[in-house]
Amino acid sequence: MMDNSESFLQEIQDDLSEILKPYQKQVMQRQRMAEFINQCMRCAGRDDFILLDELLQSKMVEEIEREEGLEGCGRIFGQLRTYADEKVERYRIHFIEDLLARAEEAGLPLEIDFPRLSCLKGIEGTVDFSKRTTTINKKVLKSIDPKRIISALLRAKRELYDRPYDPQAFIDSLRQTYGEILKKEGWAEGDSVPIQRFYFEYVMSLQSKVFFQDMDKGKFRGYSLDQFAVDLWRYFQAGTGGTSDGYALQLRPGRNNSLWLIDSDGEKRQITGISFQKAEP
Amino acid sequence: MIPKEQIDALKPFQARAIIEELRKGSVPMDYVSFFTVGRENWLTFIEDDLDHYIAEGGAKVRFINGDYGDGKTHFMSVIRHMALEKGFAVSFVVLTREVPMQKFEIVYREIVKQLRVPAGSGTGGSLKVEEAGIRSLLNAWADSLALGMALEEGPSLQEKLLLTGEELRALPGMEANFANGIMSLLENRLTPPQEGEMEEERLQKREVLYQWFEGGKVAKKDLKPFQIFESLNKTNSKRFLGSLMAFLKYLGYKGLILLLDELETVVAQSTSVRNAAYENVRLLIDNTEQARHLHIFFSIIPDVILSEKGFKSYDALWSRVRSIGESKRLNYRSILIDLHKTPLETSELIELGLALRRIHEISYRWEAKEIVKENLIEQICMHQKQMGLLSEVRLFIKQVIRILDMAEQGEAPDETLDLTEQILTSRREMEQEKMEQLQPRWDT
Repeated sequence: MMDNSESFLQEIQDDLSEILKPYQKQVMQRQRMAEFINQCMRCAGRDDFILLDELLQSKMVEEIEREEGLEGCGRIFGQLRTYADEKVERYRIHFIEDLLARAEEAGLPLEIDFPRLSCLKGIEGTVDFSKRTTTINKKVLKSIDPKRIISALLRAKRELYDRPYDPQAFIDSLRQTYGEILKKEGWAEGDSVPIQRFYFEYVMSLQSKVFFQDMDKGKFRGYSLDQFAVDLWRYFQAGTGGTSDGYALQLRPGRNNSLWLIDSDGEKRQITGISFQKAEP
Repeated sequence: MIPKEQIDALKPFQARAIIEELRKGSVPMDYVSFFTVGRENWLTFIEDDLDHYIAEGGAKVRFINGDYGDGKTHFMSVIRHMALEKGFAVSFVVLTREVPMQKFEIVYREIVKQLRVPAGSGTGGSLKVEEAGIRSLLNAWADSLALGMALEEGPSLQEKLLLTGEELRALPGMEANFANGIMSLLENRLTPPQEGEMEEERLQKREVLYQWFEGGKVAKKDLKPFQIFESLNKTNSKRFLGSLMAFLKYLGYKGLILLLDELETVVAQSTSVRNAAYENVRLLIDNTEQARHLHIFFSIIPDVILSEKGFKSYDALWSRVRSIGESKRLNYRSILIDLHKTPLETSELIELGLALRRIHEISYRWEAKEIVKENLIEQICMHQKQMGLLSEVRLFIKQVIRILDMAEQGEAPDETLDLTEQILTSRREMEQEKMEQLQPRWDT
């Protein structure tokens, strides 16, 4: 009986849960729609036409227009869209000035050669005003809001530059990974290691023991290609001269199976191989 | 300075043609001098190169860098104009998907199609500058030779042809096929018909030769009688270019100026296509070491230099042009003519605006001075500057023409004229044009 009642109750729970699921989904969706309309109202109250413009370009607008009871929003959204679009276009006159002022406020050394912008080596972007998008290091931000552009640039800066960085430790760690690959493959000292393989091994070398015990995504320590490129650039800039045991880094340029890295001249180049050579005494 | 007297001498039809072209965002090629301002520094150095280097036997490749609307095509048209005036042959080719840089044989075909020579020089003065293409050039030359022979006394036709043939074959860079082609054409044009030879047959043979010179597909058996053994293909196209240059020099031109517009189309292509195109650019740069009397200009957008799919992706090319943009100071002799870094000054744009106003006046036979005042033109510049778009000359031209159009139709721009609106409308139009340009042509 005990077993029976347990399974009975379990079944009841499952059935109710199945009935509830679509209903809950609907409630959530309605909640999102209400929140969206509230957000539009807040933007209208603040005359935040840039965010308003972004909101009104989103898919949510169509969903709201289709929703029973909210059809009236369609006409208002249309009016708002025209208003926001016009204001954004007119804002173009102040865009560069605004962006530069905000960058200065945030302490970012921003250079604008409209539509291109750059800030520190390895952080570059393009603004496409007509499409209302900004691309920063290949990541597309569906916005031309200076606030959001500056936040994205700051995020990129934090990711690439605001980490503890010791050029000597960095180059020594590269040398160690290089040595391990040579040993594993039976290659000779000074041989060029394919850069893609090297990058993979290096990222692996950065992982903790915990990750190898349980390869959970959350335990993975990310190290992006942009970080690698900037770290190399910072190493070249630091003028360390080589590894602690007297080896100099060499990057081999080429086109096939390459990675875009920053070379000693600060130039982004396609690199196919990496090696360490005994430095001249 | 824009030559005011020359503008005043424009006929309404000519002025109208200029305005119509500008309104749709194109460059009125034959009238560039009427609305060219600034860029003096670049032009001075190019002029110096043409006079003292290319005309003397030098060869080089340069890149004209500028964003959409910065005036690259206009600038190239100015070079074209200048080169023709100086006695160079010129070919202005727009690189497209149909004329792709990775297929130099097709580019060569377009080069000979677009070939222009100065009016009244080199070929006995019978060729007008409007006539384009190698066919017109060869025709005019044959005509002038025929005329010369009719007027002069001296060696017989056969002796003269023999002599010309020897001279041509001895030219440095001249290929045997090319020289044989020229001689066959001369014989076809100048010698009397042989017994039993029909006029139609002769014309047919002539057409085969013309087609061969134009890079068309001609059957080997049809070429054999002329001692021509190769048609234009991937491997011989650069040699053909060498022969063409030698021939042009022989005709008395100072050299050949190649203007290759819109190299940036390469960036959007697949890696293999891009690499092939960059390799051709690289080869042209390297060939200038052996070439003579040749100046090639490529127009590019900044992406070609900055992006990962640009020159940087092709090491062999990048190592030759990497000095591009290295220094923050402008070097007017550098391989890069950077229009983007040298936008027109506000005063130069105003001068351009005033010239456009005058052309518009002539075009529509009206008085614009009192209605579209100089300070209004100045304000347009200031607005553009604020938007970081001062370098976009095309945008400025569009705005000025729109205001002039409206004023001429009775809508005088008063103090309430919304310049922001003007600039935004022009920008939208330009974005539209840009989108249309990006459409693959085979889809339209």
